[in-house]
Amino acid sequence: MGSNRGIEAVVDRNSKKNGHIGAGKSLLLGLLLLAIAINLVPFHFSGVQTRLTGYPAIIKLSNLGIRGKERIVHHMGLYLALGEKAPKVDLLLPEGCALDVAKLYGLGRARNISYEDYDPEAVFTEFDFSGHVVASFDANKRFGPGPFAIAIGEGSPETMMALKRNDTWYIVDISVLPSKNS
Amino acid sequence: MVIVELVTNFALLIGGTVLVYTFGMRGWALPAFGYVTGIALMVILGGLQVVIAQPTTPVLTLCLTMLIPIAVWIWFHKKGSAPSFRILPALLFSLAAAAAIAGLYAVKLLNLTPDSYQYAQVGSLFESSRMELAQPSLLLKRTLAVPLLHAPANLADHFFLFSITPLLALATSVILAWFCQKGLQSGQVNWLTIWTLPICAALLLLANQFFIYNAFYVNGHILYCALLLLIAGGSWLYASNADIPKTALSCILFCAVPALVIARPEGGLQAGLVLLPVFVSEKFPVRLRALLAAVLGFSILVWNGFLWLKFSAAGQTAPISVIGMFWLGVLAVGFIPFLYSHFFGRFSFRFLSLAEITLWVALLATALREPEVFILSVNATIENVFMGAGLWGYSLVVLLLLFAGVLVITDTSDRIFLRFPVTTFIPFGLLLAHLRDLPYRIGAFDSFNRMILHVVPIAILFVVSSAGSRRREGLVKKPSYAGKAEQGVEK
Repeated sequence: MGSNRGIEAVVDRNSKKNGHIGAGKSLLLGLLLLAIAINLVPFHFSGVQTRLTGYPAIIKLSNLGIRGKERIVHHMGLYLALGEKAPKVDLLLPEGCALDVAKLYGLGRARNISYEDYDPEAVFTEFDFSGHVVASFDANKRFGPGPFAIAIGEGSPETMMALKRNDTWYIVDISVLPSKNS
Repeated sequence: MVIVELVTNFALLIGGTVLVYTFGMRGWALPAFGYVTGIALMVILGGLQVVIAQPTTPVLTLCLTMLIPIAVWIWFHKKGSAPSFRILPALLFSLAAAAAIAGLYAVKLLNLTPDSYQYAQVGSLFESSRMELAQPSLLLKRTLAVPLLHAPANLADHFFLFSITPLLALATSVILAWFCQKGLQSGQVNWLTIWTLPICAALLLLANQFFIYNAFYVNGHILYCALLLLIAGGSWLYASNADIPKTALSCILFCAVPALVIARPEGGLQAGLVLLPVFVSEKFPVRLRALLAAVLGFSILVWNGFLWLKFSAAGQTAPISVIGMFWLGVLAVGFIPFLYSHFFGRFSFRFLSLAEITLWVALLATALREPEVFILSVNATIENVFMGAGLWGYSLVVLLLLFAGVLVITDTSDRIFLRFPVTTFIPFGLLLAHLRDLPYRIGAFDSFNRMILHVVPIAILFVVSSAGSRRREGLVKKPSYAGKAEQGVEK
């Protein structure tokens, strides 16, 4: 009698246990679906850039076949081919920055670049080392409409980077930005 | 350019798939495993090219990535143990993959930050065989994996591949679903659960907006995510005796570990942490553990030794992190004989508790030494995770609640392989802030905020795999009479 009661109890408990497992899985499934829904509610492609019309943002140096090719590759800092939609370049430098603008050594049309030891004062319309915005350069005025390129080479700080903000490319020393990416 | 995208992706896919297939991997996630393993293999081979100062064109790297697995398959074939390939599924999948690559190239979605340009710079130097010009500090900070991923783009005068990171993100979600399914199959679950829960796991990852952001971001977070998932999930399935050839899982581990070491500066440390449960578990043959320790140790040692030499050649003093990691690599190799000792076998699992306690104590000590860094980092992390500053939405809060609930309610012996990488990540990540002497900051692009993504797939796997586990003993009300009767019947 006692042993029968024991077996019944085991059967009863096992069925309850299986019920618990089933309920647990259903609960987990429900929670996962809820989590997916919660994820999707505030979902927006924040930060994901829509179609990059101006790409390539950077072009390769060594295939340009320009004079001083080896030197450029050797001291490659930053090289940008800027899209037609962003013909203006602002150079943002902090006060007292050591970058010598004369070391910008490539400036011209993307993919048809001519290496030139240009006089920066002749290129840049504004020239002021004391403030943050050092110089603005309007490529359309110099080269006519179309993509163009700018390079920063030998001697430029390692932290010089290109940033795009509001359809304008900035060459900026990121070490002085308030929120430096690491 | 689209040709370069196609050739690169297919080289990775073919190389990796042939390798894992030869070692016994089967099933619907085979191409995903193949793709990530192919990328890991390419990173290893590219890293070797850099370290031994060989020509570093990506053409050579991609050829080796494809040809070495094919050579392995031929070798096994000659021994009569290589599996044959099924042409039709391979062709159909290739067509689908080609369409996906072309589609991703056509939409041209890409996220760039200053980090991306630094990766592009190293990738370009790699492609033009001028790695000697790369600044050692740049290599230390950006390492090699991401530049190697995008280096083939330089063959078409570009700097970035559009398709590689989104496909890697897709492969990560497929692998996550597959791990979930295999884990559930070894428990007592019906077929409906075996399919619905893994799909939910993949959707939970794909519905995460920060994951989607990173899927198009030229950075290494998705790669790191995928490699960590391979190591943690692979070792978990190995230990839980799931119905998967152990040679295939071992092959994946051997590829993922060195790739992780050169994926991020903290890669070596984190690979060691994730592998710690493997090193102390007797479910893994000692020889396999010793080989993994050797692979980990030599990867750390070689990469950091190379960086040390690079700094010396540039007339600079190598940072303490490089020297420290070098000696950590030596320590990992020196640790191998202990794996064979009886003493280690007896006390091995206590090392995990010891490691976790050590991490928290180290964090406490550094927090007391630099309270400002600690307070600012914790404050920034709270803002990023709970207050919406980190672009996570509510996803991390929900996942954290699910993880904590499952941790308390359920219990299985092998889940340590999934639990340990997640719970140690918190003190580990906060310790890194002190090591770099810079507190974490509020905002989506804070390092720690982005690093959290690395353990998100493992946390999801932990939660979903609990469906195949039992409830924790202490939480089950045990009637004494029924319990005794049950014991009697079981006997």
